[in-house]
Amino acid sequence: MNADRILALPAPWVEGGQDCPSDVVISSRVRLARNLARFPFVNRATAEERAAVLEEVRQAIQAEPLFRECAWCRLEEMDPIARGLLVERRLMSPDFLQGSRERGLILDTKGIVSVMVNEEDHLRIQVLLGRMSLCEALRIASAIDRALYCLEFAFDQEFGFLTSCPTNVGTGLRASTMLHLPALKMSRAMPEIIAQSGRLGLVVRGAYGEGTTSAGALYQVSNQVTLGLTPEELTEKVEAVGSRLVEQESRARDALFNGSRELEDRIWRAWGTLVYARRLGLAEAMECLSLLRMAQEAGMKGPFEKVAWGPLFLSVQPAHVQAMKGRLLQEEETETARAELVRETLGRL
Amino acid sequence: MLCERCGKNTAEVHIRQAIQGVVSEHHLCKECARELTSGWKPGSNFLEFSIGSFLENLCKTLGPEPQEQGKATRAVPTCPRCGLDFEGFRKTGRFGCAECYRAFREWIRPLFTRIHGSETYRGPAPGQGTSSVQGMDDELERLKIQLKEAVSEERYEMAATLRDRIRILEGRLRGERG
Repeated sequence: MNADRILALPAPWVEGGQDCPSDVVISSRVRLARNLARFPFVNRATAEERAAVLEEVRQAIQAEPLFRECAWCRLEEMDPIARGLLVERRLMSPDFLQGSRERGLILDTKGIVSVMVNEEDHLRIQVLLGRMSLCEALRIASAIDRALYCLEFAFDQEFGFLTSCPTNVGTGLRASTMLHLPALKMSRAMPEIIAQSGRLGLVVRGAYGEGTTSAGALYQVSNQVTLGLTPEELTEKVEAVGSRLVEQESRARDALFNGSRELEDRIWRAWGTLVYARRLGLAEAMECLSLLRMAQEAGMKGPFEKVAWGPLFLSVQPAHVQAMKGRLLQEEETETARAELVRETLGRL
Repeated sequence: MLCERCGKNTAEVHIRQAIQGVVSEHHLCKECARELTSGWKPGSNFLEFSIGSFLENLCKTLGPEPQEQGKATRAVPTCPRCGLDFEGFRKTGRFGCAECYRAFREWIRPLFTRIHGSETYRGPAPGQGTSSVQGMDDELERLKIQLKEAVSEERYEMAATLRDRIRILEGRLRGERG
């Protein structure tokens, strides 16, 4: 699959709903880790065994009607920009880029389902949807899981689905939701929220960047434990805490927008940066986009009211900028091309 | 804040662990931190280390002590299928195959309790769908009891989270029952 085909894939989580183009909740993702019982785990398998896993999965996928509209990609046949696009579209983990040649990726044409073969586990089934839709994502992931049952997954009555790393054993499930929390970030509430979430068996972390800081105020809430709770309980827990954070963010925004000239100034400066900058770093671009998205959601009047911020947020990511130029770029060139792209997009309005 | 490992002492050491780019935080008391981390130095309050060392250190405390190995009545197990021995698992924190779980069964239960707070799987068996309506009913009952407790103990943040979970579960049950 080349860069053009990947760019043509829909990214429903970026576009948001028709009724409400943007929201605090950006996306919901469910990932299931599975291993084939008859083979050693990826870290201890030989190249031949990994190739055999890849072939078995390929045959199972081809025979399964559920995957009729899916593309089968071999990673080594893809150029670096195409691979970068898949990571930025969150259809593939960054770790999947490193490692052995015997790796495959199954992508559905709706941009929702992706299955990584021979990542840390033999299979990583992932469903990515827009908005808060973890229950729906789990339903789809479970249907795929059932459809691939013929592969004979490693399972134990006591421990559940067996995985290479003990942190995934049991359900093998990681449910996560990405939230846009600029007001909570500005009011410096995130470190406390992050600390609290650990006590609930959840992890809140920056979706871009690490730890308590996050470029573009994007945070991910996910379950930390995978054993002892059912898949439904785990997703409900993440959804419940996610919904609570949405409420807190909303309250924090009300407080921030309450006649704050400073915030208004920052928002207009962000607009100025995007419209006039000749070089734009990724962190700065995401910070500006975050502020303007929040201003739009708060109903602030200005030229930023009509902009579709979600897709633009994806377009400024490095591989997307390089795909637009059709070649690999140095950092400085990327920054110049990013500024150009943003100016053009906003200038068209 | 109490130490998340022993639940007794005040957490004074805050650890950020990165599991393949996924960063999470842990809050431990000095004793537990000292036990789990070889790199901990008195006076330093913030440690950053990779999954390798964090998980390795969790695993290191499993099974017999190295000096007792010769005297141990039970031999340290080796996986009959992939040949990974328990020592190898302790070092890497990774299993080699499905059979390792069976071979190391009684040695790894404490690890699962430490990581997940549980050592038993709950959920559908392979090939089955989501958990049954009966299972959801039981869960709803359990959550309602927890909510009552949380309210009576004035733990309002917890109560709010539980209320949200009850609302979501009730919605799903309505959907299941049509």
